[in-house]
Amino acid sequence: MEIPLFYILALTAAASAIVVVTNRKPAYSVLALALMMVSLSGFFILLKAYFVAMIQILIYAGAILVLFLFVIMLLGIGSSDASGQRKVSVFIKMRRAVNIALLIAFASQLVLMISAAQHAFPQKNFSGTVETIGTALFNQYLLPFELVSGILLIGIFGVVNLTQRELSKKA
Amino acid sequence: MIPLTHYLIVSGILFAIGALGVLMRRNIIIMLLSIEIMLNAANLSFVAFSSSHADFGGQIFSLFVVAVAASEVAIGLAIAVLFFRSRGILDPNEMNLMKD
Repeated sequence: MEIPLFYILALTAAASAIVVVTNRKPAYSVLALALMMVSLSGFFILLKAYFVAMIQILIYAGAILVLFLFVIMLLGIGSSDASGQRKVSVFIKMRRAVNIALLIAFASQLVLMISAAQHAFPQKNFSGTVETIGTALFNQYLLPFELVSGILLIGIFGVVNLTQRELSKKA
Repeated sequence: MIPLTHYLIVSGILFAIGALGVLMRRNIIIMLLSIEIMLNAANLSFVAFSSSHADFGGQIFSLFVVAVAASEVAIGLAIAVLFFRSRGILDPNEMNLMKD
């Protein structure tokens, strides 16, 4: 049961990622990315990381992608890529980029494969529920957790600063 | 049982697709979406290694990646909106006011 599920999820994730990158309309790209998030959370469930799977759906599909959709609908962007005259030259560059990117990915994964092949997988008695994740997060990883709140605060400052300047210029 | 390498290969493929999106598209929104794909590929590697080693560190750091991605998207979209308002386009090649 696990193995066909894995391949279905992998195909869905890769296909929807390709749709995100190649689609002309940004709104459809966002919807395809939502599909990719759902299939990734399926992977996390297969890996017994239940809390991360839940967060993936809630935060990514629920908050971040809705923010993207808001901006796209607000700006009214149809398809604002570069003009067709540029696209011909881009095609050759694109093929080169495909080769380079795939080469890098597979070379790095080969190294990882060799180093990780000997581990038993997945481990018994191991599941990332809310309780186990919370215990580890608030004991062992408390300092990184607090630092992340600093990153979020800086993000808020940045956005408020950017938009506030725009408002004061108009007034 | 699915071996760890299969998850790593899926993660590598997703990362390659995201890197391609950043390289070949000329639309800030699509580039931000491709960065999200790359961050998710890294998350998948984190969680796969976490399950493989029976250590919660990978899952917790994937939560931190989600937080960093959220703040990055907020700032990136704010910059995209301001750029679109001032120029009326989303082509990052036109971002050359500081260069001239």
